[in-house]
Amino acid sequence: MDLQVIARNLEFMAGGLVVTFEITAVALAGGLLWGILLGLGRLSRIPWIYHPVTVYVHFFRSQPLILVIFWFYFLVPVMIGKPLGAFVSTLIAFVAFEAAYFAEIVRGGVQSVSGGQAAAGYSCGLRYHQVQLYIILPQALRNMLPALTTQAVVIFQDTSLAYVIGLREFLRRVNLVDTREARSIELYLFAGTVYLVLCSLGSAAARRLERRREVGLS
Amino acid sequence: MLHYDFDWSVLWRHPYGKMLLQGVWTTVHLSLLAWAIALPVGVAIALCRIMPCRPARLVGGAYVETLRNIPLLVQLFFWYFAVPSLLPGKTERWLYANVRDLSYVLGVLALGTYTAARVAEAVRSGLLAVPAGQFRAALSTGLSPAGTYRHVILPYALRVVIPLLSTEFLTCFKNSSLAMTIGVMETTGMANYIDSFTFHGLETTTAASLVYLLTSLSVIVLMSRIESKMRIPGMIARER
Amino acid sequence: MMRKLFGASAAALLLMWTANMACPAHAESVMDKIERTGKVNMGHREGAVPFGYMDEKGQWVGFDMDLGAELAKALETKFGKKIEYIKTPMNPKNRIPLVANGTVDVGIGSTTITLEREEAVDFSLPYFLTGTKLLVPKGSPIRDYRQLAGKKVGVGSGSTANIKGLQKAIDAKTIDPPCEMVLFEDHAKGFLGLQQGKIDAYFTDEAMLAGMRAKAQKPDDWEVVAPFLTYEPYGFILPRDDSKWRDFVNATLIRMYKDGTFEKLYNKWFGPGGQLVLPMTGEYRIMLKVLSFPD
Repeated sequence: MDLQVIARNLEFMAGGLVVTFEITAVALAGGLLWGILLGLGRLSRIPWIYHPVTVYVHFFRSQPLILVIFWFYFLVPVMIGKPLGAFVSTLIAFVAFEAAYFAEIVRGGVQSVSGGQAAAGYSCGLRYHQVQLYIILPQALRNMLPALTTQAVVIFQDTSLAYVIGLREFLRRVNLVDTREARSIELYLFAGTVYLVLCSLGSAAARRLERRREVGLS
Repeated sequence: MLHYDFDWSVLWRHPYGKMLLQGVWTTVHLSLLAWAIALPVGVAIALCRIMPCRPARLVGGAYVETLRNIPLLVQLFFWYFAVPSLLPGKTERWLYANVRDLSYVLGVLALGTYTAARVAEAVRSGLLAVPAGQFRAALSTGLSPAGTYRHVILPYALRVVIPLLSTEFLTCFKNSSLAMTIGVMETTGMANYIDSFTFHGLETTTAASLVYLLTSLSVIVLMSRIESKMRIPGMIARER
Repeated sequence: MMRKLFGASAAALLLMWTANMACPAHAESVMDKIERTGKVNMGHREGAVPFGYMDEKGQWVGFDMDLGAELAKALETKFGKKIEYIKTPMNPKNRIPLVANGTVDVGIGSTTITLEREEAVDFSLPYFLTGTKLLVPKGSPIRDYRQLAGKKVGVGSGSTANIKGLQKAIDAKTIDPPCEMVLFEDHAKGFLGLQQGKIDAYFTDEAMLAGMRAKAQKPDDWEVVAPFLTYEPYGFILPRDDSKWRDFVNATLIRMYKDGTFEKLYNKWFGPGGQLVLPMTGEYRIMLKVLSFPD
């Protein structure tokens, strides 16, 4: 076992983790915002909002993320006539894709807030967007926190897929080192360990939030 | 700035039409084989996790935690790049010399073991949903512990989690696309490959997207039919 | 639900088609874009020694990158202002799409000029001449293409010229029974596969093979065998129908051939003190001479 290979290339590979975190953060924020809109759209009774949103959510949930990343990197530029960089197209792909998953989480979260809350809000004279913004969403988000955290961990893992378009995130850097050093066992054990540690922390945080919520509800 | 000449004939023209169909077929049997591994292994792990025996619970828990917190792509690379070198030299050389399409085999193993961890979680939630009294009642009829699981607990639990399992199968089907990174020519990989020869990537990738879309819809429709037939009244584990 | 889904996708496709029809087929030249933005984006290989690869310090260097630097310098001279030289990684699979969709302005990545590729992109004048051979472990019984029968041969999945060449040999029964073609994403992964024993030989251009061998931990464990199977002239990949840009790139190349800059760069990487020793063949020299058009 030549652990030196990890030490030698640590700086290069660690730089990839920075990129990974950046993508995760943007995908989380953007995906959640877009996902909230989509989620509310899924609960809408207006047909010309409900149907397109439902088609969007079902479509993106049926596609493998790899394919979505390919679409935005190679094919959308051909269609719109403008090239997108690897980083930008990855971000757009992630936001568009993860929003479909967040939409379902948001839908579940909003449905878990008791109907009386919205009724009370309307009876105070508040309009739809005010009811959502000040009454429903804050409560829904608190209920959704465990699911959101789990999804954040999923996004963190999914960033490794940007590998296929050559984005220099963590896994691709490990892979580049491997093709030069030919020390696959050490390097992929290292990559696995890093992901395992970081994602386990994330999942543990999600479980604690879940438990705290259950206690709080009593 | 860019002009794209659509050429949809690339989807059925020889040899590309056949290549695309081969890719789709590869996706289908790759997913099914992986699922065939994932289901039994997943159920076994789920059972380990609820056993009264502590080492079994720890092993089961470690399996699920490890495989769920490492991205599938990393696991795939580990199987493809690292696992053969872990084997003794003679086995490794035999593997390379005699196994045709080693990438495919390793892809199935990687996808199967990963999906097993997810199946284990789904089945475990089903097992936990079984009312506690069932186990004792079954034992009191004279069944052995193994028998109670086989005849009473598992059938109940599996019926409860059918929706979860169908979601996991769809995820497995989508995840098969990752095998393209180790050279398996499945749907996505084939769409890309045809693109490098014909430069008509838009058409092939649209076809690939449609394949996944149609499969997803078919499985959802199929599963809702199966579920309505096998539903246990009063107990439906809905998607979280 | 299905009906709505089909309706929506039909609408989307219709939208795409009309957008495609509505867009004018011409646009600004890459030259004007570079002048306007002050940036030139070039695609280079990551795993091809010594054309474009990661050295021990993790730096991305290579022969192609030095050529790119010369091109950037020429652009600076032409426009009289600082031009930022941006390097984008590309591999055999995505090099054509990346130029075709405008992500990179030029692809300098040891790409063979083929008539099929000319339908999607344009090429500069050739700047490198080589042919395909085989890389095998030292002492391997494989010495020629006939001995590949029934063996596993690695090829780059995007190296369509290599794949076609090998397939032709198989179809012509030169390799009988046929060998199994194992595809790799790039040459570096292919060499890893060769080292691990996953394949018996790797098939690609001699310059690439020599580079892979030079970068190996023990170069003497590998050898390049067999005569040239196919003829591989390299060119820069350029976007289609952009004569202004293509003429500029060609003029820069020709100037380098004539004033000795090219020979200097060549010797830096392929000469006695370079990464690997690959002397220019007679035909290569003649090609450069023939391309030295007068001003």
